[in-house]
Amino acid sequence: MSEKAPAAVGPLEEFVYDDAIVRKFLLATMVWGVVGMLVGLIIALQLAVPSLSFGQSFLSFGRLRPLHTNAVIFAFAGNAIFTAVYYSTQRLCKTRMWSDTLSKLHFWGWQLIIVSAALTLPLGITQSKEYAELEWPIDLAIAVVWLGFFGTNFLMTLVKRRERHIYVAIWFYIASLVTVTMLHVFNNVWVPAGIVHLLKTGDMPSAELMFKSYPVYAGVQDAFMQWWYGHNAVAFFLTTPFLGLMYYFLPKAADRPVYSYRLSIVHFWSLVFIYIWAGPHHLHYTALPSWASSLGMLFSLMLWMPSWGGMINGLLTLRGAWHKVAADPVLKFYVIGVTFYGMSTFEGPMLSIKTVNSLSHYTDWTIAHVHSGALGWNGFMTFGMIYWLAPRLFQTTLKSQKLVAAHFWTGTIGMLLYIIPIYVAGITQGLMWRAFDKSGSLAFPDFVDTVMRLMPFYWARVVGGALYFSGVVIGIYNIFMTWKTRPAVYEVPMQRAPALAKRYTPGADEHSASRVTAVAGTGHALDRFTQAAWHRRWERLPMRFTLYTLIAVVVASLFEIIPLYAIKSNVVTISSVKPYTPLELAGRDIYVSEGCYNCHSQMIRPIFAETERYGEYSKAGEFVYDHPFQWGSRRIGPDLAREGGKQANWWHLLHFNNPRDVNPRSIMPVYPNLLRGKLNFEDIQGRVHAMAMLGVPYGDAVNNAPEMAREQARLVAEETLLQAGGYAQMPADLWQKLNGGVPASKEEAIEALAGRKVTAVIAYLQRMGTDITKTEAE
Amino acid sequence: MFASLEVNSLAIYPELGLLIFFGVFVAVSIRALRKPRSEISTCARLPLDETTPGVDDTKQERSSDR
Ligand code: HEC
Repeated sequence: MSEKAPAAVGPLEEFVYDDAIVRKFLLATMVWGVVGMLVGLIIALQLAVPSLSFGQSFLSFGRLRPLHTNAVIFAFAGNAIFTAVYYSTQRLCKTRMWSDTLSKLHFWGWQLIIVSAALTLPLGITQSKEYAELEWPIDLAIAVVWLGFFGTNFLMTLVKRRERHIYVAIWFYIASLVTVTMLHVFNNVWVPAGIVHLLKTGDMPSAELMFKSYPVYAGVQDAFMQWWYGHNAVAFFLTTPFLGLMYYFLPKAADRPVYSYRLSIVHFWSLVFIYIWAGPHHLHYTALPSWASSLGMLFSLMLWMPSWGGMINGLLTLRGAWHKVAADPVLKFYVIGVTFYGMSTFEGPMLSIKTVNSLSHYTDWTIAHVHSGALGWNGFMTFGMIYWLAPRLFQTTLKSQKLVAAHFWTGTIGMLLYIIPIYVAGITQGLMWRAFDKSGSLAFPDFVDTVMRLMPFYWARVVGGALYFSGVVIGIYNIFMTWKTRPAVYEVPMQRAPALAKRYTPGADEHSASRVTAVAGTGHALDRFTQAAWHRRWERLPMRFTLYTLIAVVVASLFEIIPLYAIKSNVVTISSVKPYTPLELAGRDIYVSEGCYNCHSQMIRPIFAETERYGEYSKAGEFVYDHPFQWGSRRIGPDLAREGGKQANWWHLLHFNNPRDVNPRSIMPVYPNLLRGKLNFEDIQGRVHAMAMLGVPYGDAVNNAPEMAREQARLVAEETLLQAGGYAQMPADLWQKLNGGVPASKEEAIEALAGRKVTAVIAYLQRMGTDITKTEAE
Repeated sequence: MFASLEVNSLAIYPELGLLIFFGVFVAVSIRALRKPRSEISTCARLPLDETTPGVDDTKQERSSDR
C-alpha cells in the first residue's frame, strides 16, 4: 500500500512493538483456561456425584457454577481477547500501544479482578445475575480497568496510528469495547446495602453487608435488563472480539487475504445492529409481554444471516488452501472453530423460536448450545491463535507439532462427547416434563425421575469434558516447553513507517472525480454516499466511528429499554402482593448468596404441563419487590415459584441438612452451613433500609427490622419443632449443628433454631408464590 | 412520557425495528458494494502487509520433532 498516495504521508518514523504485554496475556489465557475448565469439570462431576461438595459451602454447586462461567468468560476468553487485541492492533496500526503504563495497569488490574472473583464467588458474595455475579466493589474495578485502562489505551493507539485505514478486525474490537461498557454500566445499577446502613445509622456494617447490593430494577424489569446484558455479553464479549481475532489471525495463518472484504463490512454492521434486539428471546413464555418476545424472536432469526455471512467469509478464506489445512494444525483449529461458530449461530436462532423454546428452555439443551459456542468457537479460535503466536512471541520453534495434533484431536472428540449427550439429555428431560399418561395426568410427577434419566448423559459429559480438559493440559505443557527454549534476551525488531499526514488528501484512485462530476443533484449526493467517502472519514477518525457504533447499539437498546419502562405501568398490580418481611428478606438474600438460582427457577410458564406440575402460572405483578429477580435459567431441580406451603418446615430442615434423607435420589447439595450459620439480625436493618430506598413500602420495618425478624423467627422455629414432634424427638446430629448439642429445654431449642440461617430460608420458601392465593381467599 | 405508552401502541415495535434495520442494511450493502476495488484490496491485505520491508518478526514456524 506504500506505493499509493505517497503525497499524503509524513516523515518516516522508527518504533518497536510491545510484545512483552502480549506474552503476559497469552500466558494468563492458558493458566485461567485450566482453572475455569477444571471448575467446570468439578461441577459436572457434582451433578453425577452430589457428595463431591464434601459438605463445604464454598464447594457447593450453586457457588462454583458462577465461578466456572465467570472464569471461562472473563478470565480465559477475556485474556485471549486482550492477547489478540494487543498483538494485532499494534501491527494493523503500525504503532506501539499508546501507553506502556496503561497496558501494564490493564493486565494486572484484570488479573486482580479475576482473583477477587475467585475469592468472592465461593464465599457466596454475588449479585446472582448470570455472568454479572460480581458484587459492586468489583463492578467498579471492572469499569476502571476495562474503560479507563484498556479503553483509553486502545482508542489512543488508534488515534496515534500510522496506517490510515482501520482494518475490519479493529472495528469489531471497537464495537466490543463500546458495547460491553454500556452493558456493564446499565446492568449494574445498584444500591450497596452496607453503605446505606452506614449513612442511615452511623453503625459500621458487617463485612457481609458491606459487599451486599440490591439492583435498582425489580422483577420483570430486572429480568429484562439482565438478559439484555446476558445475551449481548455473548454477542460482544464472546462473538465480536473473536470475529476480530478471526479476521486477523485466519488470513495470517493461511497467508492470504480474507475472502471478501465487502462481505466483512456488511457482516460487521448488520451483526452489530441486529444483535442487541434479540435479548428477550431468553424470556419467552415468562411474565414478559408477548410482543416483546416476538421482537426478540424476529431479530434472532435475522441474526442467522450475518452470522453465516461471517462464517462463510472465514471458511472461504481457505479456498484453494485446503492442502494447507491438512498440514497445519493451526488452520485445523480455525476450521473447527469457525464451523462451530456457524453451528451455534444456526442453533441460537432456532432456539429463539417460541415453540422450540418451550421445549428447550430450562433444560440441558441450552447448556449444550453454549458449550458448542464456548468449547468450539471461543476455545478453538483461542488455541489456534496461541499456537500461531507462541513461536513468534517466544522467538523459537514450537516444541512439538505432534502434541498440537494431540490437543486438536482430544479437544474435538471431547467436545463431541460433551455436546451430543447433553443435547440428548436436554431433549429427554424437556419431553419428560411435558409427558402425560393415558389418564391425562403427568407421566413423571416426581421431578427426580426426570433427573435420574439424565445420569448416563451426565457421566458421558464428565468423560467428554475430561478429554477436552486434557487437551488443554497438553497444550499448556507444549507452550511451557516452547517458552523454555526462548532466547536469553528477546530480539525487538525496529519497525519503520511514515507518520500519517496531518490532513488526509484522498488518493485519486479512491475518489474518482470523473464519476462524481458525471452525475448531478441527488444522484451526486447518492454517489458520494455510496462511494463511502463518509465511511472513509470515519475510518480516519476512530472517535467518530466509535460514536456511530455506539449509536447503532444505543438505538437498538432503546427499543428494548423504552418498553422496559412502559412495562412498569403495565404490570398488573396485584394488591395482595406485599413486600417480604424482614426475616424473609434475609432468607431470600441467603438464597441468592447460595446460588440456588443455578438449579431452581422461579417462573411458571403458562403451559399446561407446567401449571399441572407447579400450580398457577407466574404473573408479572408478583415480582415487583424482587430485587434481584430469581427466575433462573436451568431447572436442575424443580421450579420453586409456588413452593410456599408445599412442604412442612420440618421437611425443609431435614432436606437442607441432607436432601438424600428425605429424597434418596436427590442430587441437591447438602447445606449444613445453613444449620450451623447464625443469622445476623442486626444486618437486616441495613437490608430493609436499602430496599426502602428502592421504593419498597416497608412501613414500620424501617425502624425495627431486627425485632420483627426475631419475632417471626421464633414463630417459625416453634412451628418446626411442633412438626418434628418436639425438640427431644429430633436427631442429635441435627442439634449438634443447630446448637452444639441437644438443648436442655424447649426454650433453648426455640432460641437455637430461631437464630439460625436455615430458619430465615424456610420463612422465605414458605412465603414464595403464596400472596396471589390470598387474593382468591379474600 | 413513558407512562402514556399503551401496550397496544408498543406492538408496532417489531415492525418499526424491522424497517430501521432494513434501511441500515440496504445502505451498508450498497456502500460496501460500491467501494472502489483498489481500496477494498488495500484493506483486505492490511494484516499481510504489516511489517516493515526487510524486518522479519514472523519467524518461520518449524517444530523440533519434525
Ligand atoms: C445442584 C442443583 C441444586 C442446587 C444448587 C439446589 N437445589 Fe434444591 N433441589 C435440587 C433437586 C435436584 C431437587 C429435587 C430433589 C429433592 O427434592 O431434593 C431439589 C429440591 C428442592 C426443594 C424441594 C422442592 C419440593 O417441594 O419438592 C427445595 C425447597 C429446594 N430444592 C430448595 C433449594 C434451595 C433453597 C437451594 C439453595 C440453598 C437449593 N435448593 C439448591 C437441586 C438443587
